[in-house]
Amino acid sequence: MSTYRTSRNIEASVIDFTVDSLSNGGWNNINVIKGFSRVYDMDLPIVAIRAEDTSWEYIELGSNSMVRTVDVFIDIFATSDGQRLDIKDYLVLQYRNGIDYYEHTIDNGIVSNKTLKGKLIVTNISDTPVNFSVNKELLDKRDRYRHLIVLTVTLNEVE
Amino acid sequence: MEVRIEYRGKSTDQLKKMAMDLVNEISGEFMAIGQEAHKEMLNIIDSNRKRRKKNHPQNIKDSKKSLIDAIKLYTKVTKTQMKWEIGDVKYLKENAPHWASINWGSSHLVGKSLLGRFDDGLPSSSSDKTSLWHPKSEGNEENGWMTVKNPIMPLNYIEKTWNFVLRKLKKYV
Repeated sequence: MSTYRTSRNIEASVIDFTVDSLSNGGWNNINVIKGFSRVYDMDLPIVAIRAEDTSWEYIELGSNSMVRTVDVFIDIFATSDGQRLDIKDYLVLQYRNGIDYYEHTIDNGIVSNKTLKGKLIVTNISDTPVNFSVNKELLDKRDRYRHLIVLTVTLNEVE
Repeated sequence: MEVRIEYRGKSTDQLKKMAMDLVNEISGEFMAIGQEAHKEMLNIIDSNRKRRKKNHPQNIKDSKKSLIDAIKLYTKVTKTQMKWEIGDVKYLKENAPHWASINWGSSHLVGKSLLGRFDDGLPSSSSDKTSLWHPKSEGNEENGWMTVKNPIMPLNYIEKTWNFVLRKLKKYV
């Protein structure tokens, strides 16, 4: 039995929160996945989540203690332009209040337990439509109605 | 009778000069952020670029290198305005049309046969062991055509550079 480290816990917590939020909002047919490459093997609509850059800031002079801030990228792949706007608006409103942070325990490669340990504070949200500047009919159907939400989150804990 | 107005021993002219010096200092730092952001964006792309070996054919385009060359920093300083911009979409469309796919990722090449080289560490099937071409089993093997199997992964260099700029601007807010 082992546990995820902080970065994996952050990513998994955002994924779990997204799944629960979409389900509570009546969005029952959206695939929520970790990463990006599997998107092109799945049915739409899809939300793909990945934790990318982490920045570290010292909390005070003379100390090695730091606080981490993580950029989480949420790619939305919708079936239409209207759906794209609705999903991203709904998710942004959910994320802005913060995300429950869980520590995950894994057993034989599967998450066996998760314990609530705090809250991820969302310090910045940006959302951008993904526009390839070509006729949409020339694009793969998964690339036609895309949106990107970038969350900057922190646990506000000294490490 | 003389009336002099001062703030903490400084006259209005001195205060005006202090304010202008502060504006110039912040403006200089703001313009420096533009240069740092430009370098950061190029670094994000460059650090994810596979380097070619010495005897690689020069006629094969390096898409990330051409993108790096196409992303330029534009600055404008006038008496009333100071700004910087990184990249020009119109210029990128002409000189590096793959800029969007590299930023956001795309599957538009999956399944297509292209002339190119993909490092997989396997030796060439030809008798000449120094040959650069090692075609896959699908596609037209004879002339070194490869079939793309995986989508382009997103680099998000635009969003990452934007977050870099936001962190730099934090100290002024």
